Amino acid sequence: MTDLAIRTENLTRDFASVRAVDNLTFEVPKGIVFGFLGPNGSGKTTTIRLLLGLLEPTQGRAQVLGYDTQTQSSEIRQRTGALLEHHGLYERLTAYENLEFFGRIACLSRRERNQRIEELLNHLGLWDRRHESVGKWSRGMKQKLAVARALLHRPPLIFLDEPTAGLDPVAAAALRDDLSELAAESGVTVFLTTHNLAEAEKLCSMVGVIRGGALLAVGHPNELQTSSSGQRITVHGTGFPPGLLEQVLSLPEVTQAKLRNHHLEVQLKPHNGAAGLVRFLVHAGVQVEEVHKDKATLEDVFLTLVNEGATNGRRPSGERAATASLRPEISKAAGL
Amino acid sequence: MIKDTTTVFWKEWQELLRQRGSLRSFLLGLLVPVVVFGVMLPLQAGTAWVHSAVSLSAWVYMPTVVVMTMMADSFAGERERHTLETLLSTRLSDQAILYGKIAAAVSYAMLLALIIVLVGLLTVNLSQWGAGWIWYSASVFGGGFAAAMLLSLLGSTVGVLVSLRAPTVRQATQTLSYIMLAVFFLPLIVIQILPRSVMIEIRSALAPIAINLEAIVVVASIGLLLVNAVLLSIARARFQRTKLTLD
Repeated sequence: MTDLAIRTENLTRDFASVRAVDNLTFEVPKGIVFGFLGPNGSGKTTTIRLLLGLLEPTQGRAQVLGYDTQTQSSEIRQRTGALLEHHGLYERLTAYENLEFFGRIACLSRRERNQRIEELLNHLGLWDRRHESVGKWSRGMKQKLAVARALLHRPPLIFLDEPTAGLDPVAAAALRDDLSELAAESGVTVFLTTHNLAEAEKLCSMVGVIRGGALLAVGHPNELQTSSSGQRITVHGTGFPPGLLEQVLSLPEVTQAKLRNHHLEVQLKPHNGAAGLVRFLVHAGVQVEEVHKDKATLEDVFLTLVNEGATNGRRPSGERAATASLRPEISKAAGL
Repeated sequence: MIKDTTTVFWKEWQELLRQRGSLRSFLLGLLVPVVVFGVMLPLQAGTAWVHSAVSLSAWVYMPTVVVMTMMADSFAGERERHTLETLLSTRLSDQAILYGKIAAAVSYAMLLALIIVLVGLLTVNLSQWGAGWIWYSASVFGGGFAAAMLLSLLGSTVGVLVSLRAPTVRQATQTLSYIMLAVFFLPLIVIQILPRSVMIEIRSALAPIAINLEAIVVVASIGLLLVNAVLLSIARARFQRTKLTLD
């Protein structure tokens, strides 16, 4: 039995002349929430469709729960739940009927179905409204119901494609809480696509960043934050001589630097400490009073990766992704 | 497979019953065809409605129209309402989805035709009160039932093929309307514009065949069965989730 929920190897999908997914190679261990981050049109939804066997890859292969997406896709769909780009609920039907339909599809017995529907709707606070047509509901409620549908047959893996997109902050936060509770309770593996980085930071124990169909990096958010983006150093002091900023920017470990009122903000390349910079500043005559080290946020990491991906173009990113056949514990794209 | 087909069938019926918002509105919507084909036409036709092939209009026309309208919505509607992808992401096989949808449309059309024919029978009997109970002849009822079944199946397979390709329900409905117009009215128009001499020649050529109406029905039924089988296999070949446009 494999410990991987998902494994892809050079997974590629072209639509005519457009390459939507470009040589994706990554692994998702079982039992975690995996965030698939990327801007709009980066290939997140296409990847989910490929993993569910709704599309055939142009080249490469993928395994989901040990099943091949091309030859055993019905086994995959049997064992997975999905909340795709749209909630996919039948708006003319009631909430109960919607879940009843998907419970029947999953071959749950009547008793099992009724129990599970009651349990999920109660958990999500929707039980009292179970006989209302879904069409009359707010978007947040529909998304909650769609999450319930995805979890109805207790699948070991669920795909959630931008589950909080279009929700107001309160509804999004409520859905996030429900999701993390339900996922933790059932021990399900979650493959979550999002461009909401706060959401990814909160929910995911592992993230992958995709742009232009190519994987830029995969790893734990913390590790990506320390290793991909480097550190942000803020130096407070006096006596910053003219021309200092240019000298700082010329240092090999520095990627960005800004001089503001009595403080200098410097972005260091990964794996570089602040000591060398401080020594340089003291040598240049700066009277250093205070030094702050900040970890880059996931948003910083994401923007760095995505901007680099854009600068490098898609092909090199794809090549990096291919070499980043990444270990689950730490997997940073080569060259970053 | 049968269980999955039944599941899709169940969902289609649930949606159908709420198509107009509520069950009450749905039943009210049925009133129009029932009144036109079950009351007005039988009243005009009198006993001929029961004894001749006039009532075939209810058996033939209604199921075809109903089925085509339903099937226009089947896939194009699911795509438009963004439910198709979710449906395809379940363990249901392509065939179960296809057959479930067709079975729901055909069963609804047949039920409607049956209601209309029975209401028509009641109307004729009430209008001829005192003349004893009048029944449909076995050939009219049996022929009508077979025609309705085969035509609704034909309508549904054509509907599937159109609905699979159409980006919207509106476009699917439009295309199916053109097909229906062509099927129902083109022969009438052609007959109207044919020169009288040609018509006489056709009539004389058809005269010996027309004597054996039952044979024509049998041949037509076999022909329809074959066409249905061919169209159904084309629909099966076309409806493959990996080849569908989901957006």
